[in-house]
Amino acid sequence: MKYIIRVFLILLLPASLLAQSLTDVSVKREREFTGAGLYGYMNGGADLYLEYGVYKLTTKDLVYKGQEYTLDIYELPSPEDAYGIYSLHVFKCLRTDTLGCIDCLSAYQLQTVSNNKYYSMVFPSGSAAARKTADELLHLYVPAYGAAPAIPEVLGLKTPYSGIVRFARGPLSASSVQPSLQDMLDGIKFTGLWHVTDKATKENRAFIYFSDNEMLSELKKRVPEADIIQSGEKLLYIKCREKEALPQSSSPFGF
Amino acid sequence: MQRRNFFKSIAASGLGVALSPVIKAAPGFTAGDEKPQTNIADAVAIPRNENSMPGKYPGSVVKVNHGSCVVDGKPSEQAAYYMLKASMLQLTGEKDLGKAWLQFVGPKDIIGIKVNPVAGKLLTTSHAVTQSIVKQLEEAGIPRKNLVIWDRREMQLHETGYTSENYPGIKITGTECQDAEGGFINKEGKFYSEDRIDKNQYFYADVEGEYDAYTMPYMVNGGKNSYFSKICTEEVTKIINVPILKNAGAAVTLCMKNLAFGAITNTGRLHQKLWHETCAYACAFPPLRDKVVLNIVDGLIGCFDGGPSANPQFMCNYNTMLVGTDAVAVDRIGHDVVIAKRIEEGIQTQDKPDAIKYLVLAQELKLGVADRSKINLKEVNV
Repeated sequence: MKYIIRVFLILLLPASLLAQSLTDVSVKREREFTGAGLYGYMNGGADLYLEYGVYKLTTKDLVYKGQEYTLDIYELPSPEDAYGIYSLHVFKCLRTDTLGCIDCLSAYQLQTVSNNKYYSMVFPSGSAAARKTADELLHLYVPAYGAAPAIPEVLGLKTPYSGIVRFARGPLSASSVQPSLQDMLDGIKFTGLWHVTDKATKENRAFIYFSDNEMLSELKKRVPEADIIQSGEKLLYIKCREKEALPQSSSPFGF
Repeated sequence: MQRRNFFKSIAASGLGVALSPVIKAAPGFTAGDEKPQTNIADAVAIPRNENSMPGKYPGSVVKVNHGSCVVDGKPSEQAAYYMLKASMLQLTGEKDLGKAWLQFVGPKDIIGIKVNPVAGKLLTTSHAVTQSIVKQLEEAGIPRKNLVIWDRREMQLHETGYTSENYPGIKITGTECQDAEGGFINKEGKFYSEDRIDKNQYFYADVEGEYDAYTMPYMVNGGKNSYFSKICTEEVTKIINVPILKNAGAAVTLCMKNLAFGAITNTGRLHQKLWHETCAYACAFPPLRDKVVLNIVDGLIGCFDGGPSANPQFMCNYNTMLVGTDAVAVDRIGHDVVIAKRIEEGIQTQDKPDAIKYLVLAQELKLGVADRSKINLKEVNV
């Protein structure tokens, strides 16, 4: 059904938009970073991306219709990983999950996910003109038919997903999703963690996958029984009590 | 062996050892339990002068707000000019803008404008504000040849538009620098940056800086000393500090951090245990304490989370500018602005007392006023 909706929306796009082509785009600079080479692009910030398994980043400085853009295309092992890194970079979007995609428009950035790729397009001018043409430009690079991440049905979610559900793949991303998870999951190996904050109640919930039941049992010891919503074979669905982040005043690169 | 480990092993053996200065520490000063010793006592012992922080107007901060200073996503130079003018006149009580500037600098001064390009093009000290400063200094009779725009990283200045093309006649310089091919090392096998640091003036802390070969050019040296840039110790006679209104976790990165972490080497080691101490202590050394005459916080556009980097989703138009000679007081006011925004956006629910620890330390060192109740805030709406 998702695919049908997407195809339908693509068909609705204005003909003028589809008529645009990459020949209208001026590529000022293009660079590729693979694996740990990501450190060369974003210094210590790369650790988070590598936790999700980013194996290639292509970054392009573009000019389109007189506007400057930087487009970063991250390639990851799965649509869930692509959604995961995307979900950590989404905050109070001006517009979400439109045009048949999972996407987020903010004042200086348009982000989207398609298949196993996460796309971030930044327009430093922040101008209305740059924002307006961002959709056109991004569609030149994003395939029309993209597999969506498999969001567990137990979470009971409907689109829009952006800003509602987040996905963590390891301890760094889990602590970014909710800082108090850092302590709760200390020493616990998990293979994936879907995190939802209920809009009305502000209650946080996490659906966690494990590679073995030993880790599952260890975590169950740390979670109050009343907070366990569901427990199954190598998975646990829990409420997560909120605790605010500690001051984080440094970057690993001298500032 | 992984790439980073490989680099680390190089740093730890040859290059790293060669660059790690072994200079005996001055008598230490311990700020609290379990804090590494530092040489802050040495700094405190050096007599102050008439320019020493907190400068001419201790505890005074001017906050100028302008509802349309960002036009279509871009800071307006015209608006920035008027905001700066209003700030200067309000701060000094002068009616003439030139006289206001000449309270702090003179035609014989070499004036270093310390900007902050670390977050890249997206969130650098805006050219609207920097150009306004340059223009007003010129109008006050300061020749362009006496102006220096600086930061610790010259390459980041260039990337963010601080170039001779955009600022003709003004020197653009940084401590850490590269050659035209992007190399950091000269023919003698030394970092170019080594010639730009003053090994006689340093902040010592009993924490070892150990970096891989990739990171080392950005630190200049490892070891336990952080050397001051010659830009501060030799090149300039006065400093105008122009940070951006940004958060750093639940704290802020404004005047004190822009100066402290922007003027010394080997900073990576200082974050974990000594972030607050470094922000305060480095500013207590003469190259900063006795030269910083004015602080202008560019709050036209800023960020409330994700700082000090630029994460687009957390950027916002604060539409404001904070000005004062007292970097501590300016930071205290800026802290309130940023934290209020973080609370409004749901990032945190309340202010955290520990977040202003560096300001309390700075006040103890007589660098300025951290006590909010003793700060005279003048707010102007343009």
